[in-house]
Amino acid sequence: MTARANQLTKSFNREAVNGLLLLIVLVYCGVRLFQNAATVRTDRKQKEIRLLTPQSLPFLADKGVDVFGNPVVPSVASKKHPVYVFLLRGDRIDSDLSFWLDISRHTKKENITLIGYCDGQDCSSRVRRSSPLLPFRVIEYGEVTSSQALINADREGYLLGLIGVGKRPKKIKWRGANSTVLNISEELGRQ
Amino acid sequence: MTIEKITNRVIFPFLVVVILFDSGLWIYLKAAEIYGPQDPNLVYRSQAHPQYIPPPIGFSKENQNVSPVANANGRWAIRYASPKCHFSEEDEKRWSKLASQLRIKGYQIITLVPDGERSYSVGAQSLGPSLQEVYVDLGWLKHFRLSGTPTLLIFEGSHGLIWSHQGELSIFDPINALHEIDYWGKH
Repeated sequence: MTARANQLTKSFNREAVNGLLLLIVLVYCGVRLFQNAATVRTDRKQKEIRLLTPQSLPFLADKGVDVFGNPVVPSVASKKHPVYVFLLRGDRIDSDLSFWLDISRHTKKENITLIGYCDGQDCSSRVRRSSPLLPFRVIEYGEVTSSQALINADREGYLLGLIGVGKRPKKIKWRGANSTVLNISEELGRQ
Repeated sequence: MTIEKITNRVIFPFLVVVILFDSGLWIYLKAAEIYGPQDPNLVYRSQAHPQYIPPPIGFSKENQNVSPVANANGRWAIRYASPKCHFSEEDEKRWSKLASQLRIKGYQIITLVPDGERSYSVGAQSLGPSLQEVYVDLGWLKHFRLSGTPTLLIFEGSHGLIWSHQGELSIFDPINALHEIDYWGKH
């Protein structure tokens, strides 16, 4: 009878130990899964926010490398001396260039700086060919955040007006039927 | 209380609860993976995206030209990250493991950073042997929506972008990425 009781106790002991070990392993797995679940949650939240607000990227500085491979030091923008950045598209580079040459002629007395960004090889090679005529610098390699902000703005037809560090750039529509050299020049000079 | 009672009344009920909890979490993770926005097309700006895109030419913070060349199979990857981003830091552990797998498979890795202020110092551990570009060709940038760090883009020759991920890598992402690489490598 005692031997049988001992055997039963041993068997329950083994079961208890195995159960306890399994419990520890499962709790550990649960903790790891929980950590990953937390990552998935923040990850998805981040994605949703970003996908919903692609336009919210800030334009930080007109810093980069121009079409000749020279570094471009960011301009000091202020309310009295705004800096206007715009994208030149390769597929319509001739009309874009002539538009901005006209703008620069109309605004040369104004206290403003114009900076163009090229959206690829078609644009940059064309700009290199006409460089002596250009009264503004053209960036070919830009910082990711600012370049993305400008590309986003340009897709809606806007240029960005910088008026100082930490201040939200002003968006001005320059692509479209209603935008002429005269009214854009006036708007840029009015700032 | 006897051992039998402890086993029956404490450990086994606990086991059932933990098993249910773990299963629930596992199903949640799986569902998040399957139904999460993982389509590479999301990072493209337009539907008419090119099949083959060469790696972006760029410049370092010191204005040194960086011209990455994809390997013979056209394999290269972009990691958009920042040393000042909490999510990029958190992602570091999984990314470094995946990066070493990518290197073994012959991938040229290029790190893009948001701007000069948020670039990795030369020799930083996070950077590894990858090339870092601070000023990036807009002709390349215009194709993609790089709106947050970390973002990972993996390219495979003529197939173009085969895998992308915005945000921290989850436990399944490196497995998914390597699976895609193997799949496209054979096709």
